[in-house]
Amino acid sequence: MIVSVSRVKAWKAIAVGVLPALLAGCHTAPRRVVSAIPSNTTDALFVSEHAGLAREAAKNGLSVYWNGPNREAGISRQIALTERAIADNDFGIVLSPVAPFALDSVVERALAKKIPVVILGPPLRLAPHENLSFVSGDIERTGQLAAGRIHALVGDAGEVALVGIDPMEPGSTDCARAFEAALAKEAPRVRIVSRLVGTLSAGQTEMAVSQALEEHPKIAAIYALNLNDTRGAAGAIHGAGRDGQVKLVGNNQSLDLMMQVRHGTVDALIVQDMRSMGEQAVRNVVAARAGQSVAARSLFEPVLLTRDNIDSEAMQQRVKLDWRPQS
Amino acid sequence: MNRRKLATVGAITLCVAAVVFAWRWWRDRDTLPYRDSFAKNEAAEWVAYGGQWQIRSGTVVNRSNEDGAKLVTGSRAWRDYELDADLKLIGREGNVGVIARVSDEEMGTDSYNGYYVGLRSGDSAFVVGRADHGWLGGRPTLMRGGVRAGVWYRLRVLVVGCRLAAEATNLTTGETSDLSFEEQGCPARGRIGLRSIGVGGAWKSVQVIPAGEAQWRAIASRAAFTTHPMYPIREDDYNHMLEALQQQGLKSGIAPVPRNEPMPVGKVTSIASAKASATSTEEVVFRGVVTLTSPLYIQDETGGVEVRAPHAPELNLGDEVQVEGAIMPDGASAYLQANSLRVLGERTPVSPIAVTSSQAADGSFDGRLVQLSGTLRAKSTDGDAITLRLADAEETFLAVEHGVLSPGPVDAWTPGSQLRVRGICRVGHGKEQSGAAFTILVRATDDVDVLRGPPWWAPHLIARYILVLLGLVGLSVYLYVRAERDKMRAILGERERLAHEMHDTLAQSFAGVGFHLQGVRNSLRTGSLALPAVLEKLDVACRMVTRTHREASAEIAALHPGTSDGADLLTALERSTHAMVDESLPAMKLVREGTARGVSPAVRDAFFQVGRESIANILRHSSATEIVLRLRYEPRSLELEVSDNGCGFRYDERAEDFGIRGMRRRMERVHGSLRIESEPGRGTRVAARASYGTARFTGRLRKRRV
Repeated sequence: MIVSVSRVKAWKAIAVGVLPALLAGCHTAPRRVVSAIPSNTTDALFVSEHAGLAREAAKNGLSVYWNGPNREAGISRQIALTERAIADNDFGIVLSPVAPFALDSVVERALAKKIPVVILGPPLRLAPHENLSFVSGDIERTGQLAAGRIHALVGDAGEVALVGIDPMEPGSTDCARAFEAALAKEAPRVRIVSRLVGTLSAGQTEMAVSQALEEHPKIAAIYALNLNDTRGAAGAIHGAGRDGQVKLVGNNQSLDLMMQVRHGTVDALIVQDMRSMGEQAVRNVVAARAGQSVAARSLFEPVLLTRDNIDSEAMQQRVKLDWRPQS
Repeated sequence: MNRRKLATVGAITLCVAAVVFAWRWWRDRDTLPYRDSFAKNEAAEWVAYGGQWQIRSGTVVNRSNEDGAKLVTGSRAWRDYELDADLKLIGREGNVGVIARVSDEEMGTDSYNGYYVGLRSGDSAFVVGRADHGWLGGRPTLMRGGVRAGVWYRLRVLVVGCRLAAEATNLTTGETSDLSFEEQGCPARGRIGLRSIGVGGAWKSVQVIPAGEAQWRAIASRAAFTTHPMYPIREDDYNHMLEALQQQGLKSGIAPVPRNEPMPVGKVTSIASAKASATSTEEVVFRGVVTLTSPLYIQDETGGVEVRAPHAPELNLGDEVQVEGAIMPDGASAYLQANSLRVLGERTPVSPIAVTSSQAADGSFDGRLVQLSGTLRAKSTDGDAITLRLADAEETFLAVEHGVLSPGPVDAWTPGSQLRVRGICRVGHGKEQSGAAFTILVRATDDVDVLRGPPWWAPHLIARYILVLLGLVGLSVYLYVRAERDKMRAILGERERLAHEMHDTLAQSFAGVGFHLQGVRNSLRTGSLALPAVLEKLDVACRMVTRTHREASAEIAALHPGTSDGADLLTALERSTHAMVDESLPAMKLVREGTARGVSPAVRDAFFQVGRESIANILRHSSATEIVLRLRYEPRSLELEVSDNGCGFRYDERAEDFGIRGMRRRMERVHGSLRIESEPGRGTRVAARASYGTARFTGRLRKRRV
């Protein structure tokens, strides 16, 4: 009888204390961390995103884990970091995929675990979802800004080159298409005489642009679709001794290219509002966690950065890089 | 749980805590000074985070130009110290240095918490800053004489409190530069590491020694200014600062880093087509990307080839090169005997192609960077090289890595594991070991991933299971023996108690009866007593026997009361009372207050004995007409109160008689208390109180004993 009473009490203790603890262990609350996985952690483009993420996260009592690929195995590194965020049951994931298709599966795994995911940058082919939203720059507007600047530089007629078309780079072909459409509409007599596919490095782009400049000596302007291609094209123009003669407009911002804008070797950059995008991404995560509806797609308007406006306070604020949460 | 067990558990807990503490202390102990063993080609204590690290000729080299490859060692407890290292930059433009006070390190560009101090070739800057999964640098200082690839520099970095000072010396020219850095709130302690950004690097003579204010001041006082984490926050500030630095460099006569030579447009041969006609003596020109530095392999879009270039510059993986030379046959394959090699660019990533073992074996991917998986059959070590023998359903092949830095990751590759290896596929060179279709030249330990551990039936795992099983059996036997010993101890204790009880009660009573009968016998023998007196004495003896019998019955009743709950405790006391006397009893009132709960057998016995003794005292001395037994269940304790309306007595705690002292001892044994209140003419109240006790173990013992 004594033993029986003790056993009953033991089972009661298990039922009251241990089982809820075990169940709680199985369904732990999310870690209050937003994992941000850019395609590159050091370019000013992404550091601005980090600044926006950190600022908005701090407002919401969250912290940001910031890491991304730093070598050729970019896709696998992004997958590994996303898997870790899923395993840690992070509050949300903000991902800027390096490739348009390779990240679909891991994003779906995160969604299956009900972790809000925000794709920051050109969208994946996945459909928006209560926990999946897209935040990006306005690609159409980017192409229009580039076409407008090229038109202003070249005039109503002339030859230009388009550098960095890469179907495997998210947003690349869309941006090229938007540029061509806008240019055809705005300055139909400005001809794109060279369309160079994206390469793996600035060095390869430099070689390709050098050849294009030899083949088409009348090229008056180049529009480069990403940072490495802009760097490569700038190197080629400089190498060909045609600084100032061949104008270069590039997509996105980096500190070295903004320095080249100051020096005049790059005419203009289409600057994305990455800071605001970072803030919006955290707002989307918080709203999704709260069960509120989130806009499937948020577009942010880019602006043209030139030597004339680079020192304006508005531009400096747009490209501010202070990622400290208290900033 | 009794005190002895509590003490045992406490001692074990303390021992475990002490062992854990000692282990953590040993792991994080202040082991300064530290000096590397690179001269002996040993770097087992270093851990790589990214990069392609190897150790050769007393130097640790990273041949990768990825951003922020790190190699970390040391203790997390290192606080104020001086870190010295010789280093050089491999590649055209980038940044090499050391990291201090490192924690939270992982793969990624700025993925650590700590300080970086390094030399940047692009603008000949001596840089410093703080990383915490992000980067904020201080204002850099110009490195006197510039920063050049291939030149050895010595860095001395001192971290004291939240201040850092560093000195860089060009070991060729002796020119030095100094910097000083401070921040509010800093990582107080941490490890050290080597790091390169965008280029490869080489390091040697790394040492860490304790440092203090004086050493810090000696360097900081030479610095032109003290800087703080401030760049880049605003683009304009940052780029103006860089521009000023470049101007300062130009004024100091430091030439900018030369651009890569313009590539001469000439006839470039594809590697695949040249290898296909390897018998031709014609000169060929290849343009490709370096995929392995030792031996040197390059790859273009069509294929890869080994390049033997006696006077090649130091190269990194990802460098774009143009090579001219003659293609020479080598077994079924070929290599390029280079006459010239020029670097065209850097940082061109090459991703490995996933192939099957049969595809790799047919030679289509000879010289190319590939990735494939297999089951590890065996591994062997020869100097700084490790050879893995792998197999899948189709082929057996080798994976070879030279210059292995640390055996740690290699130890995790156990036979039977499924591995994925990346490296240069080498086939048809006639140098493969027997039974291997091809060889994968692995670039670094990072190029081997463990996909799956060995199957459960692997011999070493079976041996491990057996050891664990034996350990569990041993532990079970120990626990069983321990439990049996405890049980025996409890039984012996109980027997001893019973012996004392019987000695104090039954033996004394029987002795009394014996003495009485002896007296009757002596009287009868001497004829000193008349028959009526003898009969009276015999009546007394009979009454004594009857009383002794009752006492024995009561003791037996106390030994098997049947249950442990309070209701039965009261019933048992009532039954015991009836067993004490034949004649009419005072009225008995049994009262139970509160919700009945289980009571440990030891506590219950104590209450029963105290209650019985109290009732016996009432019957003997009080002339009471009513006895009240009250059992009160309280949240944490149980109270038994025995009261009567008898004559009472003047109670003096300092002069308790033997019976009361016995009751008090019983209660003390179960960590309880006893309270007695009595006044002449106002009855007596005895209250015993104790906690409920643990029923489980003692209950089990009692059950077995019964």
